[in-house]
Amino acid sequence: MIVVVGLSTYLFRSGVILFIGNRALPERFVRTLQSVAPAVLSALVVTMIADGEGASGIELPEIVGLLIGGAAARLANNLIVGLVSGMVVFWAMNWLI
Amino acid sequence: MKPTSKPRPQDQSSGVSLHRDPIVWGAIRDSVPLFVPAIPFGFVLGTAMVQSELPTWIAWLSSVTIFGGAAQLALVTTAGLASWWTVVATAIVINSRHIMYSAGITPRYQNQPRWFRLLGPFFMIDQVFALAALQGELDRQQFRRYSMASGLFFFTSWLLATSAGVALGGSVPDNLGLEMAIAVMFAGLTSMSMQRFSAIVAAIVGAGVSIMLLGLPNRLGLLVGAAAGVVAAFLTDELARDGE
Repeated sequence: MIVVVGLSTYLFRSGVILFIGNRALPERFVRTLQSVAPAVLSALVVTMIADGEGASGIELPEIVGLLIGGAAARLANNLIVGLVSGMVVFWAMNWLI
Repeated sequence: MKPTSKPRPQDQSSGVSLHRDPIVWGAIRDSVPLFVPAIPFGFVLGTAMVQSELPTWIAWLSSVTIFGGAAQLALVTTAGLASWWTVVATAIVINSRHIMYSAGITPRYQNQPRWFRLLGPFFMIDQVFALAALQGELDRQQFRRYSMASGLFFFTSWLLATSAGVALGGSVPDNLGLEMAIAVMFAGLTSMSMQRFSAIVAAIVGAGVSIMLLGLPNRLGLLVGAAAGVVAAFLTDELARDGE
């Protein structure tokens, strides 16, 4: 698994340099590539917090913590600010409920 | 134009020695502030490696073979829970954005020696790309030294950070919510990757469809949701072009 993913990652990073050179990539392709990461990452977040229990595995503190954490990371342009804000909200809500 | 008064390493009688090379040091100086925010990430990843269904040493080796935090985190946390091809496809798709880096930096790799064209891209993670892309004033040889210094710095530091996470991972108490911390980290990566309106559509559709498909076996809803998000973003862009 780690070898397959590692090789693919290397090919992504080197592919254009080694095989395509200075020819331009189609604009549509580059544009679509920019939405791949947000689509996969958000789907991954949902799958992680559901914990294999379906939609019932998603709890309110988790939802609020994720939204606050995501928004804070974006506003501060800093992943750690997002992590700390999201976790503080998550802990506080778990403690209150 | 200002004359440059800085001595070049070739001018020094001691010859070119790496530890006084201003390009190499400049690269490391630029890299340190970008690496600091990655330290807790590497640490969380290290603890996730300990708790992964994969043997810890294999999970750790992903730092060497993959060298990309988000994809590694996705891989070690879903391995054993989803079918192997879902795990591999998810991690691969997360790193597909690196095609853009490869395309963006290609002009600087023209006329470079073969070893650098082969080895340089391995280190081309988000931060190294961002730094290397800014070095327009360096000549070919200087660019090579700058890229390799920054790349090797990040690679070594990343191995150290994830190793520290693995070493101390067992002692993190369960009730602190490590899984939630990982999810929040991904939520932050999601929001920071939304550079345009269609990317926001991609994230919302990706999450929405995944929620609806949570009942599917082998966490298949993850891939279908992600694919739906990309298609929705593509259609959004096409509609916006028609509207113009």
